Amino acid sequence: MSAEGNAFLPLASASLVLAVRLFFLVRRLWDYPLNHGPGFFLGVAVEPGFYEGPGIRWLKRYRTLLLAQHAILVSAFVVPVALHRWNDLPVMAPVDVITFFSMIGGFILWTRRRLGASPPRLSSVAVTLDARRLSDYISWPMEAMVAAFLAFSWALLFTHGDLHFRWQWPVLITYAVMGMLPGKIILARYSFPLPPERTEEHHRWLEANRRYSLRVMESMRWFFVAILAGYAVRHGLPSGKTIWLQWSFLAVAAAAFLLMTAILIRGSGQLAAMGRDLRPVGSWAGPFQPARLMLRGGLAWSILYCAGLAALLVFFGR
Amino acid sequence: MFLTVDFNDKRPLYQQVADGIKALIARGVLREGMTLPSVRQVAGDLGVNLNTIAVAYRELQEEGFLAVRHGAGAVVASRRSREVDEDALRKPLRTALTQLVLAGLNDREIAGFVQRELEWLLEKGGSR
Repeated sequence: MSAEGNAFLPLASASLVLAVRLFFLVRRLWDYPLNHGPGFFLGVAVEPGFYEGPGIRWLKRYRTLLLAQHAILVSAFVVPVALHRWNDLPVMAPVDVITFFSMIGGFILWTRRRLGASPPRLSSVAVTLDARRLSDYISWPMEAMVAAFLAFSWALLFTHGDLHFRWQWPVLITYAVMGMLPGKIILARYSFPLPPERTEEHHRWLEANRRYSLRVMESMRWFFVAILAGYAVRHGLPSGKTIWLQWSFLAVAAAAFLLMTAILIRGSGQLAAMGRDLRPVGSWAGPFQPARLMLRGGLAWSILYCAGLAALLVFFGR
Repeated sequence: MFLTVDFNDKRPLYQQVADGIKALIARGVLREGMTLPSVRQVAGDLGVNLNTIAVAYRELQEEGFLAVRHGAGAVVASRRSREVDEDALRKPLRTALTQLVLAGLNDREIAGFVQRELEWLLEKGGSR
């Protein structure tokens, strides 16, 4: 491929990712703290009139942080483009994950500490008697397929890899894909006692939330898997004969990305509509446990996952 | 289908869980052959110790309402208690009626009260 050809794919895909993220910022994230109506701010119950008083300041802080996070994302796009370092464009993805989790997640935790240190404790709670199994949420044959594609890519790179490929991308992608599995398991297992009023609706909303997050993660993983497989084919097989295979993996990656975008935009809209006048998770404590915003183990997993991504980026960036 | 527990209820938690499941069986919401969630799931959802739920399930198993099968979890076994001893059935009823008399309700009010509770119990399940 020519230099222009080398630039086109990373540039086109990075531009698409950036466009989707900016669209998501405007349509979904900007007013995210208001998703549950004026009675709540990011999962914390607030006094009536909050948004005419201190709420304005809180909303301003949230939006400033959101803009700062997106500014970092834009820089991760602009700098490699300005320097013509097309191969560095995929760095946008881990940078986005790390900054989003740490900045927005950190802000949510800080908000809870300052605004909602002691959410109301419900004396009566409900639990569902519908049995949940891990296999209801995680398809093990699909997991085996993911592992098979990763193994195929690694085998190809190990045995036939040319001199031009860089190990950092296969390592980063494999980490990103496999590291999401524990996150999926935590998500599939998370549970909360439900409020006694409108129990059915809260339950349906929480289930929809769980399925939505799992679908987003799944499509994101397939996107990465297809990218890695395409990369392995490009650097592991003679390009003349297997160009169709490269394009096939690229098409799969594009399809997975479009699917993820559709799920993100449509799903988040549906969830916001479903939960508009319901209590957000973390705004109540059960009689036997404190209020939980994060899934049990979810915070530890996010910290470890992001720390691993950051460590790999630093290690390969040296 | 949901099970509600109340911290202000004087019954121990395991008893509330067992009674709640029995009420759902009596109402026909939980039918024979239906699988209940694992002890781990219910305990996790409520945020209580595994043993609390295990005791409730064991009580239901001993009374013949649940069958615990390895690998399949707890399955609703029957809508009828194994216990058919009339005296044993009468005792809790007598205790409940005593409470209502001591609360100052007269015969008609108590009959109406019992009727309403029975209707609530049977409304979901339809006929017995």
